[in-house]
Amino acid sequence: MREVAVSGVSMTRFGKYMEKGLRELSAEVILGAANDAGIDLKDIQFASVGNSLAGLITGQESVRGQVILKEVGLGGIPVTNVENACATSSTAFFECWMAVASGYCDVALALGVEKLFCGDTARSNAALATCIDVDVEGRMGFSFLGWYAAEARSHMETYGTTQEQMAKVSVKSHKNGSLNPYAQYQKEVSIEEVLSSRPIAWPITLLMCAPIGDGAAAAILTSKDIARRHTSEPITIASSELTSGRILDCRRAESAGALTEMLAKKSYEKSGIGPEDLGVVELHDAFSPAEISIYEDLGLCNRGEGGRLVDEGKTEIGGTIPVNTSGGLAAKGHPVGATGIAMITEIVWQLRGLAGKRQVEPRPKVGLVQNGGGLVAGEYAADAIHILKR
Amino acid sequence: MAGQDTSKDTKKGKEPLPFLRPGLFVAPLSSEETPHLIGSRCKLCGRVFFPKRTVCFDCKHLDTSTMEEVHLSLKGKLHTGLFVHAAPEGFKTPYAIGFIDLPEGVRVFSQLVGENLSDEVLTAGREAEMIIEKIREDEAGNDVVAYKFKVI
Ligand SMILES: [Zn+2]
Repeated sequence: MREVAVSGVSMTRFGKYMEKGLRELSAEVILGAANDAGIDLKDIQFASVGNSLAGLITGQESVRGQVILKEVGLGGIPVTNVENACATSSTAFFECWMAVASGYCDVALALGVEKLFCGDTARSNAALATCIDVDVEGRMGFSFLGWYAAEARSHMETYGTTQEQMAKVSVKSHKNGSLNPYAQYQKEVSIEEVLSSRPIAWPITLLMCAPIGDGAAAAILTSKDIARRHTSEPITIASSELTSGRILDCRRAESAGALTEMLAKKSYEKSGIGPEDLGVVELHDAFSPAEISIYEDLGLCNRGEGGRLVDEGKTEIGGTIPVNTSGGLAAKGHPVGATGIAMITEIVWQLRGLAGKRQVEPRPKVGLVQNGGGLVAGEYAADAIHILKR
Repeated sequence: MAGQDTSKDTKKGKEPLPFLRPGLFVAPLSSEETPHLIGSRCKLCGRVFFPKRTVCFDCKHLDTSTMEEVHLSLKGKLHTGLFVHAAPEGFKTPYAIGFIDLPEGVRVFSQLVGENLSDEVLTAGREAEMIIEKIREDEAGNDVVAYKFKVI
């Protein structure tokens, strides 16, 4: 496998776009990423298009990628359509990494796009509810919410983590989001506001939940040689890892160790990079309490110390290991199929020093992205970790 | 065109998909019968599964006759229980959900019911018994009947 560069990235602001569809949102970021990479659209030799739920929202269940790419005149190349719930576009990115790393092609486009606002909230929610096993979970009343709440409680019982610490994560996310012009929510909130917002499932309150939204993000992956034509300091992919959940049959993580912990270990081994080398992290805070246990999964602290990391402010911009500088899913927003590449975009911007008011100083050399998707039998259906470096 | 449904019975094609996957449970037809969940047991290692399945997760034997259908115990112990205040369509919030550990070593997800349920009552280790009851309403407003666990 050869080294692969992330030569261009682009994302729309996340939010509500009633006047734009998948094609318009996608066109904006495809052109943006190509411009950023200094390539022409005709240079693209392979495209992987990630979208999770448009089949249920718009009825375009099949060949979404081809329909979307037609908007920018891209055709006559291999196009794959990728779906992995919230980890959809990390999966598209992974496919493009494989295509370039293997030498199959030199320039690949990874796209993630989602349009959840459709004027019918019940329809959006029903679509989101399919990111689990509908037979024995969804139709019986299960949802992400129940799982995340149960995990949060178990962390509290085992390690003494508090609801206030979980609220602080949301406060940090919203503070970072207020510095990010691409975030859906750009307004700070207080601990009191988070704790007194509508109860969803204890300890989770409304302000700890990722909102639904629309948006797109794209990345151009190239060989390192091509990247060097445009920049003297390419951002390269130190490791690209994807796994499905193990088959736990609802036995859940207690018998197997956390999936993300296992994947992080593999990523660190393959890249030769350890958690102590990371300068910035984007992780999957679909609900704020999850951020605390993912710190531990990624080895940013010891097991059980995630709450303390928050109290000490270590994961804030300016802390020793800034996490979710973009505002995370809670504030930046979570248009499911666009989320993974948007997380990667934030890390690329941080490594290049282009993150504006939320730039981590000194400019980080290495960043990590963790993006989990769906839930089957007590674990993510898909989990992806990308480590990028300059 | 490949895959096109050439069936003349277009009306049938418009019926909603069956709401529940078949083969999950048996509802009693008379008062002498008891309800039960249908699981599978691996004859090689003894591991029991719910719902029933073709291949044992551990042994992964290619001969499906190594798996046999079993009735699961009615009573188990709560592993996790909690109230949720947001739900998919058709469920009335707030409602309680949880995981129940059955003696066979199976963990089942289910809605939870019972008298005076609260977050404080839904503690690990509480006994819970399977019942057949309305679990929600479908899109047309009809009752959907399936399994639930009653916290004792
Ligand atoms: Zn077996």
